[in-house]
Amino acid sequence: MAVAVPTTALSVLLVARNGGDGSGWSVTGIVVFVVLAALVLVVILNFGLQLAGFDGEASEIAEHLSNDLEQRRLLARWLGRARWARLVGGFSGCLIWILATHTRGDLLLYGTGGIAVGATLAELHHIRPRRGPRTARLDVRSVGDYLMRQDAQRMIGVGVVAFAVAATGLVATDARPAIWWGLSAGAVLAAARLAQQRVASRPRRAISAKLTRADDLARELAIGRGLARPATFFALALVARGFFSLTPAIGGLGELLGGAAWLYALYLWWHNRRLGLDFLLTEPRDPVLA
Amino acid sequence: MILSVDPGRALPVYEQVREQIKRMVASGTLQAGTRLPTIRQLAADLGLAKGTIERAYELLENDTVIETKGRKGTFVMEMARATKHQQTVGLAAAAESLVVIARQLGADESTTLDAVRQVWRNL
Repeated sequence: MAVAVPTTALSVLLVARNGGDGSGWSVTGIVVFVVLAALVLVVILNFGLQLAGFDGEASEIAEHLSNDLEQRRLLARWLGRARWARLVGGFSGCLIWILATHTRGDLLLYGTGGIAVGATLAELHHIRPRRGPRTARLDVRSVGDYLMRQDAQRMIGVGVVAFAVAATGLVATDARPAIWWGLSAGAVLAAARLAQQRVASRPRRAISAKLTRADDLARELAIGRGLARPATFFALALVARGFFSLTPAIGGLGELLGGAAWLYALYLWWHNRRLGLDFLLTEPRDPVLA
Repeated sequence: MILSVDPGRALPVYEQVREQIKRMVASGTLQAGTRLPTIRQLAADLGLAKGTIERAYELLENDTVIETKGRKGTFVMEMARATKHQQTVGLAAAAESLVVIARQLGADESTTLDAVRQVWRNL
């Protein structure tokens, strides 16, 4: 959107300037140009505001997750932080793609990498213990309590494929880079798992039952949508590079599997962009925490 | 099931943890077979060093109140229940401490009970 709108506006500007036949500015052209310029401004302003940490949608999404004000506040805070970190991470990834590869590299790899790093950093904040008396509930919290089966299966599946890519690279003498692509994908998944454990065991003092439910939901979102999914699509993008680098050893199959992995990574990213909760804004349903 | 510790008290923190878990098991609030949080999690939740909770769990194991089953975790063991009388005595002692502190702070009965209700609702 941020790229498409300015490009369209520039094309319209050129048409308007030439009046279609090179005779100067046409009225229709000017009107279309003004409308598009306003649109570009809105898009740039919106993106700038989001980069600066203003995310009105976070509160709106939180409203669809709970009816209670305190729960909404807690969820909106987490949503705002997580969405901002992903945006900054993804934006940084795209900048690195432009500066380091001069747009010749794999944008999906850099973009998803940035999102995965941003998402992980968002969950690594440290909560200082309070001074004086402290309280805690004797609840057991583990990653398994928060991670959805589908997300866990995807992580394991991609991990197995990454291992297979690395192992094939080890056997095939002319496809050594595949080892590093496979190992890197495995390392991404392992790092995500560690971050998930950290989120599950993140300190929580004894709070009311309703805040505990909201905190549990925030942890579930963080462990699944926040960590598992970005790690999975980034690892898949790495695995895709691994398959491509196996081409000298396994021929066209490497291209085919690499293409499939790349498309699947793109699909996962698309469904999880902005945490994949924007559907709540267009298709409201009963709050998760009734 | 809530634990509360105060590092400022004369009683060591691991003793405070031990005492409270024992009390909950004896009263039946924590039933036999209940899984307890890991040392790391409980230490993080209470903002304490891992060694402190490790010591408390060790002492509770020696008291045969809890048992550790390898990687499965730490579980509450079967233990003789406290009598109704013991429970009443414990509650009266806690109430007495609260009333003494409330009077020292100059709070009246209704303010004190309001504070109790507020905390009761929030925990």
